[in-house]
Amino acid sequence: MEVKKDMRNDRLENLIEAVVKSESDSIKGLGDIAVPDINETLNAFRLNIGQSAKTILFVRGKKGRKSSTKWLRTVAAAMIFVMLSWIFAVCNEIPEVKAFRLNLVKTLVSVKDSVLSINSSNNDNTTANEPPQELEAQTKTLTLEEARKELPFTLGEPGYIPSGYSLKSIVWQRFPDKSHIVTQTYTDQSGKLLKIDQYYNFSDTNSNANFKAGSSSVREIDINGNKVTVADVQQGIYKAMWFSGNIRYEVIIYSTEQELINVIQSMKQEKGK
Amino acid sequence: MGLVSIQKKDDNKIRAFEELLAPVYNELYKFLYCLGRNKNLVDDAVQNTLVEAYTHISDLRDTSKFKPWIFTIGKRQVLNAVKAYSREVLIDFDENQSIAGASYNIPENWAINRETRSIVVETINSLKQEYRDIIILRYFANLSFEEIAELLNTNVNTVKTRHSRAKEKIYKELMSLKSKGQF
Repeated sequence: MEVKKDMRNDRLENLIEAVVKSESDSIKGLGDIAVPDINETLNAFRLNIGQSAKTILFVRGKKGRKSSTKWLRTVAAAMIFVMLSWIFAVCNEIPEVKAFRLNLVKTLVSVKDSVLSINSSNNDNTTANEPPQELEAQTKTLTLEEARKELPFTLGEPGYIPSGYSLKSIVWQRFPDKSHIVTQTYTDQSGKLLKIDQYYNFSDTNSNANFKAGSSSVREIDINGNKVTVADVQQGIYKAMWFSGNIRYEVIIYSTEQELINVIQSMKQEKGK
Repeated sequence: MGLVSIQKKDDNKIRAFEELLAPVYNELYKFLYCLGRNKNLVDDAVQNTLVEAYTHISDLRDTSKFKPWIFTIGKRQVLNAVKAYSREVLIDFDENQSIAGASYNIPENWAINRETRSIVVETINSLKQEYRDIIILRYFANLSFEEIAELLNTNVNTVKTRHSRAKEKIYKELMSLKSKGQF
């Protein structure tokens, strides 16, 4: 909390502050605040920030009416982008430019079904002839039974979860390149979290670095024959990551490291189908 | 692979942000609700807070400071929203008398135990809402008298008077029970 503007050397006030903060659940006006479920808040947050990759869509006029003037302007803008991209590509061959190579954005322009799409990518291997890919992952919430039946790999279901925790949701994201992310979320009554992510068919080489970032201590331990990286994020929060077959597992728990290990030891794991 | 790679990179960033948020979420919401006292206003402020924090997460060098950092952002969001909605002015009738010279303090060797805490909680809960709100804003939300006055759209003296009356009641309850030897 921010520093108070006036120093408090009043023992009664110190007592009141200590009680209000430690017993807030018992105080009218604090304890009866209905805090919305964190998942609902985060779903709204994700919608607000947007999930799709950077895309600009230019759509034909309202209600499907053709607007030839707008269409011509749009095509002209697209041509300018193509020319600029060509100029960048040519300049890039100059040795001096290569030496100062930046993470340039290659622009793909395509017109499909009267919709002009300009897609940005910072992947240098993208060619101008490559058609723009589908952008959105298909997301589905599953029951436990559905997850056991429908996933193309074994759900990493834990046989053990800490006391007080229960399953809140299983969310399945399918990507166009046939990779998947499945997230199991468990919470207890106070909102503490146990989250298990399975990344199937991913080739994210930066996953290890991202996983370790922000952790104060990292070590590797053997659990069920897997080399598991365990990191301590902050007090009371631990996370673990390991690979098995073509699945990357990530587990985060708001509890102790031992509980994290107990959960991982009990998880079903199988090499990807 | 390019476009899907961008989306997955964003997913990692969002997950990392959500992992930082989860342990402080309940307390953050309660803190903002204390300030805003209106569900719709607070829900909007929470979303604005999360978006602003996510957008500027790279400014935060030390993730252990995440909690105070996001609380500061949230407080600013709520206070701006409250100003925009401009609450009606509270009419003070008998509150304008300032209680001068009153000092309610407890002895240095006072035992802070379960009974003491219980008395303080019960007394706070028995206060009139306008007094209890000030206790909450002062001691839970850590606002100054000036900030409380601005938030409640009243004057600072009224806030100080109510605060003093609330303290007086808590003090008297504690003294009363001490004199009965209950702790």
